[in-house]
Amino acid sequence: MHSAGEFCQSSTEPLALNSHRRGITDIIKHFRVSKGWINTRDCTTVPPCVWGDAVCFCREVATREGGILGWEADEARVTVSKPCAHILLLLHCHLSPLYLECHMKARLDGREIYDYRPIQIKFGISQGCCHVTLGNTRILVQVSCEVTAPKQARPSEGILFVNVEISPMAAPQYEPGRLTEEAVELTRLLERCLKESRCVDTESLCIMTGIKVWQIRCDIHILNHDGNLLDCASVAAIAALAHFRRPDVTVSGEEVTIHSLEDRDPIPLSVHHMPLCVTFAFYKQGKFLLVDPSEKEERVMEGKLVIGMNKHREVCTLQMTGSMLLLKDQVLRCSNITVKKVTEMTNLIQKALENDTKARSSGQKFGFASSIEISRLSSNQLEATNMSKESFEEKIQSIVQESSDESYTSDDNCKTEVHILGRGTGVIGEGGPSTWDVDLDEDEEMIAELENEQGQKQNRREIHSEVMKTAGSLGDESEEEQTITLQSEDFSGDRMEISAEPRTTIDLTKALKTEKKQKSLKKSKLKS
Amino acid sequence: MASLDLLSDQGFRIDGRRPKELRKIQTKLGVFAQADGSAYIEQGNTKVLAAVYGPHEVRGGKSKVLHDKALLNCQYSMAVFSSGERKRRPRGDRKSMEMTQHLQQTFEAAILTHLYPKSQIDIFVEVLQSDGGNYCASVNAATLAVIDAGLPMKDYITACSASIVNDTPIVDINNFEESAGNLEILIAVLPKSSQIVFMEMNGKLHEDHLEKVIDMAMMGCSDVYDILDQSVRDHVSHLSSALCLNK
Repeated sequence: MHSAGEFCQSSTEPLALNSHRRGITDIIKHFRVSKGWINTRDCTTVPPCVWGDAVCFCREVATREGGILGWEADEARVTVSKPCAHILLLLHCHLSPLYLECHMKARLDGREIYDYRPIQIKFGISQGCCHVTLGNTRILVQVSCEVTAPKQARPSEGILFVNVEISPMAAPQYEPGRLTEEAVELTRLLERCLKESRCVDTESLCIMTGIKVWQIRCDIHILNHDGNLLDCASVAAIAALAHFRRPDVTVSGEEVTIHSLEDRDPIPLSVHHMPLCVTFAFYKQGKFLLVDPSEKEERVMEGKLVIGMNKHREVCTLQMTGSMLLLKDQVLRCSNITVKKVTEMTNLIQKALENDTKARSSGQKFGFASSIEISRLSSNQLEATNMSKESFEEKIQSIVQESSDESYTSDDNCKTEVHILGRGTGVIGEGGPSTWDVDLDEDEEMIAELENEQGQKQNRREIHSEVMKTAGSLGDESEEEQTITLQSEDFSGDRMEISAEPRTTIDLTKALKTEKKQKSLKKSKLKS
Repeated sequence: MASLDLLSDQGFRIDGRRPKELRKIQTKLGVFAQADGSAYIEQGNTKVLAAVYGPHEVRGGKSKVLHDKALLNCQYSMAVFSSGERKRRPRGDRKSMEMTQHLQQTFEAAILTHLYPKSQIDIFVEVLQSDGGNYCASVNAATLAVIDAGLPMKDYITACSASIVNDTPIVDINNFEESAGNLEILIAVLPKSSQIVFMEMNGKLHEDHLEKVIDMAMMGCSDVYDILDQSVRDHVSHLSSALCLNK
């Protein structure tokens, strides 16, 4: 079995250089990898294809994280905790080209290829404020208006201005202020989808031709990035525009009166149609496609196709990005899928708008406070997704065979033997000596020095540690050191000597003997 | 009202073309002495220059080096005098940045970058006169420049735009048709295999017409390919005849 440190070093160089995979080095640096025990606990199941090379790395990472990589020897089913699942996915993309073929049968979160994550639309108290969550992606949109001079090319039309704010709050790779390429792309796509499709009637926004028009400003704030920002943002923007009310204006001759909100009811914008975007992620040169990619799926995708459409089957925008090649039929097929998705989403938005108007008119509570549920803290568990194993059994065997042939030929020590230690505990490979360089003598010296520094003060410190007995087959070196609780009485006899020569070793054999008996009693209690 | 102007009853467009006709294309390869490859293209009134440098060492720090392929650096800039209104920023504004990104993605899909690891290839495109179809002319010019530089590519990349007027698809639209019409489709393809490298659509179009317009654009691309191929062959024969004379 490779040691964790070696594996990490050999893999970071190729992983670090590709900008798509930047995230992986961050994850690797985050975990201080060291050897340790493995425990099994209730975890999510991941398709058994993520196996092979990725497992040996993940074993190390998982234990440091505080869980959880389990192995059930009789079934050869790998269970991984949620935090580790994404590491497996990302690593496996580099390590094995078999990943995609197996993976495409089911996605990490159990969705089908054409499934969207659950969308929730909430409106705020002020008109034009909308908050949309698509799975874990959160976007907040606020629409506002002001009176400005129109553009010279179009003197009788109002202006619709779209602005996307993406900050490190959304994801750590974004810098504050500076627009990244991704942000520019997102902004341009949204602008095209909203402005050039003429979804909002800009002619009705004119107050006085050539002099004063309304400028509708749509500010889109990305709060959390979990993939597919564009779809979520388009839903939020359209919902907010439909929800927005602008102040009423009366023009009498040369005089223009803008009525305040108390004088007259504000009037809604005239939204002709609702263009919504659907994102398709492509893998393996267009062979596989996914709708609504999550963040992890986005990182490994080769190319992306965005189709913006409205309910009436009019394509409002279409863009293909990424270095991949597509055929015309694939594009047409995607547009068919888009039709269905867009109808669903439009109905959702309509319903949400209706509910909001009903709540406002009937005097019920509306706004974010009433719509955002207070989520309870529950344990770090995810429901197990049911997977049918029949199709995978043969695949597992072949993958195991291949990967054990490939990667384990160089190192003789790599045997995939699992030692079952007890109920729910399994281990692969052997642990080694502790690399923490903690010595019993040094420990005592340090404590003595501290005692000396504090003068006459007596510190009682108890160092607790769990001593886990290992099965005899795992070697003679034990991971944990035995530690002793030092009482102040042990030092009493030697205090004068300490102050004179702080560096001499202290004879604590007396103390050891007394403590050992207490410890053995404790151990027997733990074991039972 | 505008639609009638765009396509008359006899089937002529404002500049007298038929719906399936491309604008006149004139090309010249090898215009710059310094650049490894350069080209100039005129598509109707749109005039674009392209220059290619590379492969050379990566400038701008070791952090950008890709260990398995060449880094492709594109820059798209419009001259301040290129459009009707004087442009205040030739490059760096949102639309230029977007165009740069699109060009980069297009060429990354076609240039065999894995043959030059840890190096950089620069493609610079300058629009001297813009009369619609900027992206298409840029792609065509850059293709010629890359061929002139001798960089290996999977195939030519040709680009063409298309639109639809009164249910009739038209190809290679100019500036007036772009602004007055309500649709513009840009497609870049590898002509021999008809694989789409890049596609973008602005405006509104009913899904039933989508296939028609895409077909028209792809037909335009294959026509452009014939013209570009011919111009490359002419250039090479001209060069080789000059060499023979010197022998």
